Amino acid sequence: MTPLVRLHVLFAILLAALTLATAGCEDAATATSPTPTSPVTETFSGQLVPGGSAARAFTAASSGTASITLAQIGPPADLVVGLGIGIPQPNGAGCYLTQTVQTGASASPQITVPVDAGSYCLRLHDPGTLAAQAAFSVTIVRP
Amino acid sequence: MTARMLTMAAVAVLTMGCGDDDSPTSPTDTTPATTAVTYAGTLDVGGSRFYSFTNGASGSVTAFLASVASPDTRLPLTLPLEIGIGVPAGTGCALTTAQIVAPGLVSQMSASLPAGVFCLRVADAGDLRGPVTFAVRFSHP
Repeated sequence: MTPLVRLHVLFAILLAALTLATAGCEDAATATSPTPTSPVTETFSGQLVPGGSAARAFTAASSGTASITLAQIGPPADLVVGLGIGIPQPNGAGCYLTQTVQTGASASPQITVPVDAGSYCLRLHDPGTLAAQAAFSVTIVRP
Repeated sequence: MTARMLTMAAVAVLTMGCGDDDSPTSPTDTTPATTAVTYAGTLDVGGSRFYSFTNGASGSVTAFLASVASPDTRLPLTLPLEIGIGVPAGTGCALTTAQIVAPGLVSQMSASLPAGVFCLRVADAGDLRGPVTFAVRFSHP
């Protein structure tokens, strides 16, 4: 190999090296749209026994409006129970209630309240109307 | 230019890093962390209760009266109570700010305070006809 040919070969190697070295430098991350995180809908289902109560804690990620819907209760389908919202007791024993309503099942929220970011809870209780165990489903929409 | 120099240049190009290799920077100061507290108890007619807390740094203290309820039924009442923030003094809490509020779930009181020991006081605003249970949620730095 003559010196001139050798020089050409080395130039070619240098060019290839430069191409390889810069190939990984592009910022290939594709921007994605943020997933909407608010409001969030949760469902709380269970069984309410005569004289009993059921509570569920939930967290508001930001300030906004929380709404609670007793969507189903029964049998019988026209059962009326107590539905309340408040803040959880630190020992997990239930709720410190802010407000409560006596209501049957409905497609519309029975409780709608402004809340700050933080932890809250809902409580369902038998006000003395249950003769037997009843199944319930409550929908929580929170920020 | 010699063949050796070209070879060295090729090696240098292959081993160099990409751009954007900024040095790590010190974290920027952010808002001090806050502590959320639930203060609950029973209040008698004409009575008051207070809770002492320590602000680890200066910042905002916010509070709301989350619940006033019957101790017998545990059902909520709409009675207003006085909540206030002050400084522990002897066996009491000397208030620097106070207001009468009905139960709610959004901040009803806010005070900007330095680091130090303070107290949150809950008192009958004159509406109680019997004992009640209460719960106040507040946050402090």
